[in-house]
Amino acid sequence: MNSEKGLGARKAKDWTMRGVALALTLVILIPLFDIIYVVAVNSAPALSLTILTKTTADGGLINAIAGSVFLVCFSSLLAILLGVFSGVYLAEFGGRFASVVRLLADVLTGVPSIVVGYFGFIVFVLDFGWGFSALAAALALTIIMLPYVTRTTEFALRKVPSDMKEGSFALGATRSTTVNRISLRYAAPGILTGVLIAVSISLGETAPLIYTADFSNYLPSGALTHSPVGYLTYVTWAYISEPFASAHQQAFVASLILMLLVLSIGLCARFMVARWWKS
Amino acid sequence: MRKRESPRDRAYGLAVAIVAASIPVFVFGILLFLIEYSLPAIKFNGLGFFTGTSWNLGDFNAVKFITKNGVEGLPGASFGILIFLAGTLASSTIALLIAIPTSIAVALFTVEDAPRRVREPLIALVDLLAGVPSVVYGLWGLVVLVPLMERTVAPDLASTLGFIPFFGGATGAGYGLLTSGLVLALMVTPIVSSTVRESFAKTPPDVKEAALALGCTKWEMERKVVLPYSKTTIAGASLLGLGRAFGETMAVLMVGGGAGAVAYLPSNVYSPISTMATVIVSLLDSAVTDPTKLALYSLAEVALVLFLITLSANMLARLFVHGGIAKALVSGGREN
Amino acid sequence: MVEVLTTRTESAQKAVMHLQADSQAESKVALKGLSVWYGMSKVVDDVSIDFRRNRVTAVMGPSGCGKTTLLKTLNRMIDLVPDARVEGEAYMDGQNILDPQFDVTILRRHVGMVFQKPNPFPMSIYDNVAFGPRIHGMKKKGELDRVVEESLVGAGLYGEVKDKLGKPASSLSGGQQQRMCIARAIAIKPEVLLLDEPTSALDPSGSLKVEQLITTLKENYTLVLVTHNMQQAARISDNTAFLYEGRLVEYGETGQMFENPKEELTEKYITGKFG
Repeated sequence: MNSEKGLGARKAKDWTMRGVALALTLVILIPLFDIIYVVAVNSAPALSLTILTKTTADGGLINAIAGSVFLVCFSSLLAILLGVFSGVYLAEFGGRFASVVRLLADVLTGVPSIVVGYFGFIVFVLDFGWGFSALAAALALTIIMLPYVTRTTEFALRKVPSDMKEGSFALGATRSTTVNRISLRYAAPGILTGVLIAVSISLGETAPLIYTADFSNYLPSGALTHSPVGYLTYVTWAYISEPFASAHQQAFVASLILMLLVLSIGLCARFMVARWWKS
Repeated sequence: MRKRESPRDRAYGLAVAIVAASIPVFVFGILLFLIEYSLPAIKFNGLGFFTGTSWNLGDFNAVKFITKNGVEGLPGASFGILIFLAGTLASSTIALLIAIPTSIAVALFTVEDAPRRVREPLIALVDLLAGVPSVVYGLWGLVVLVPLMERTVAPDLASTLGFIPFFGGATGAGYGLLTSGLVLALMVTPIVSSTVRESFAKTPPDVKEAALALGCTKWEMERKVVLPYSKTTIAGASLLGLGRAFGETMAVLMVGGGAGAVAYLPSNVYSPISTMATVIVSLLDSAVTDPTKLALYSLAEVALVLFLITLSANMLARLFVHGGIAKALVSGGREN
Repeated sequence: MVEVLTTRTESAQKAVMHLQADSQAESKVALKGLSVWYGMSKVVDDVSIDFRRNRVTAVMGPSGCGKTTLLKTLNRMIDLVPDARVEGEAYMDGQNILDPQFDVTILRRHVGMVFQKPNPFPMSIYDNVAFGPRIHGMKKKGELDRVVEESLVGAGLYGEVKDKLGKPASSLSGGQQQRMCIARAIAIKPEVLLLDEPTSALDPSGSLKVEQLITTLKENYTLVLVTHNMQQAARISDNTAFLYEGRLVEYGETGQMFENPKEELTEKYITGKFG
């Protein structure tokens, strides 16, 4: 009984496919480790306090770091304000308009970021006359972040147990009180996860910023309009094609900072999701 | 008994509805702006926009503008995007040809083969790959992939597979179509893979068991049960990936070799390329100098076409994968 | 003379005595001292049973008694359960099928299985039934047509589906789907057929048809039927094994066991006084 015609070939095929699946998984993961390795090794010689004390013109990165933080904070603030309440609308007050909004949120995630950049340049920078500015750049980033914050807020609110809401209603609470005091509080970790993902995306964006923020060798002035802003991804993109070794190092260090931030935000989000699903 | 909303609730509902209207405002704002702003270009360029191979702002020294279909332009101006359209389609096709089988393999390995202890970390790593900023992909492509391509991969491919169309000929400097396709594949795979993985994990276990109980090997079970169950998801996820590849800018800008926009159609897989997305960056500086603004309008037309192509890929994908790209990216492949 | 000598089996030696139960039929699969752990908990405890050729053997007991686990070891589907550990032996025609060296693909070619809920593949009725033969190398259209027809006839379904073999299997009723799953299992001509509560998800008329089918199938197969439905065991099985908390309490001819159980536990169970 312990033999069958053609079984050898079938087994061989099975083992081959097992091997292919493993091999391709490794093939995908090798670049990830290589990216981290290449970025780390190439920025190592340049790692010093200069990065934090000098601007890009003097071999540092402080203007780009400050600019990135400024733009991400500014756009996150706008995206959270708009996104969380849009999410509340989708989850709690749905109707025909809600399904339109939902569809358009999906459309918005699919809009290439360079298209948003072009839109921002013509409309905010030229037509509105804001010039290259934090406001134009932050609005462009907000457009990109908004659908993520909205949809995660909606998903998170939908996970709020209905008996919890009913308990609140039974105490005579109105719908708005229940949403603000109970649902949003319960869903907060889930919403925060979405915000973190959106922050991580906006931190890594370049295309929407090139023609809205432009670039500046100086620290952000705090002015919202008519004042270009520096940011990290620009340094990586532009400085790697400069003919100086020192510029290349700045490009790598900018990438290293980006990777560290994206990595820790990703870990944070994952940790929160794990805890949230458990509770 | 009729349920009456308190005035406060109604005000609250109205307020959040108004906030939620920001999304339609942005989407239609962008779309209507692009249509309106590119209208002169659409009139001027006509269908030649899609078939033309030259992007020429015209003669800046001309004393008089020319008029075509009621739109003013510089003499000699012509705006054709065939080269960029070809670059976009070719690089995305290569990316998907690599990314689809790879994503399926990664998803199968994760769901079916990986030991339980390895599974979660593996999912986390693949998600992390999705989070790497595109300039960092570009940087890595530039310093690792481009030299590798120039020195070894491209010459080797050309000498062994040169008989296949588009694989022979000059192997270039490492920048180009194939390098872009590879980087795009790497960027798209985690997105496609996490969507497909969630679907694989939902294959009814009893049907998988039935196949194994009939004496299937694991691969036979996967091919006959797991893959067929997820075929619409695979199609949808691939379209999501295609939409991403169409719109990707920075990485292709850095490894495509098309800085300043290439002026000829790719002749083989090693040719430098520009895509619809990269030329918006490359050509905007010069477009601003056009006194007739026609170059700016034409770039708006490029952006409009890019918007519509990615939109159709995403809408098609939405038919297959519920929740669309937002869910694919946000849930990052967590089973729940 | 038939002797039923079983109580709680403490050792494999007693298994030898089981061989005398139902001695008109020869042994097909003999379990010897089978124990199964899931992690730290022992779900099957030192069970020895001799399944007879051309007989329906019912394995019954309250849920969680280990009957499904026992069934899963017979075609080594247990291998798929993470951290399951199996001890003991199971001889099928003299070969130990629990030996890790024994090829599961071949084993499953000879031991078919029908599951609790009908689980058709997402393909046509024809392709469902032809699935096994195709996997095992049958390619010719004529041969496949013949096997599909034979199997559907064998499963008592042919008349109902012969004009719509190309239709998706999901278009059948639950009872029809389950009989199609039986046809699919017998299409590879197994010697043993494992049935895991095959009627639990069916309506009464669907159940009746499947039960009738099971009694006719024993002409050609050795059947092992896991059920928590005592009436069903009484109606259609020849021999019955009663499992409780992983241990074999009693094993013998069905009629005898239901009329005159040897063990107090068995009696309590079949009279419904189980507390």
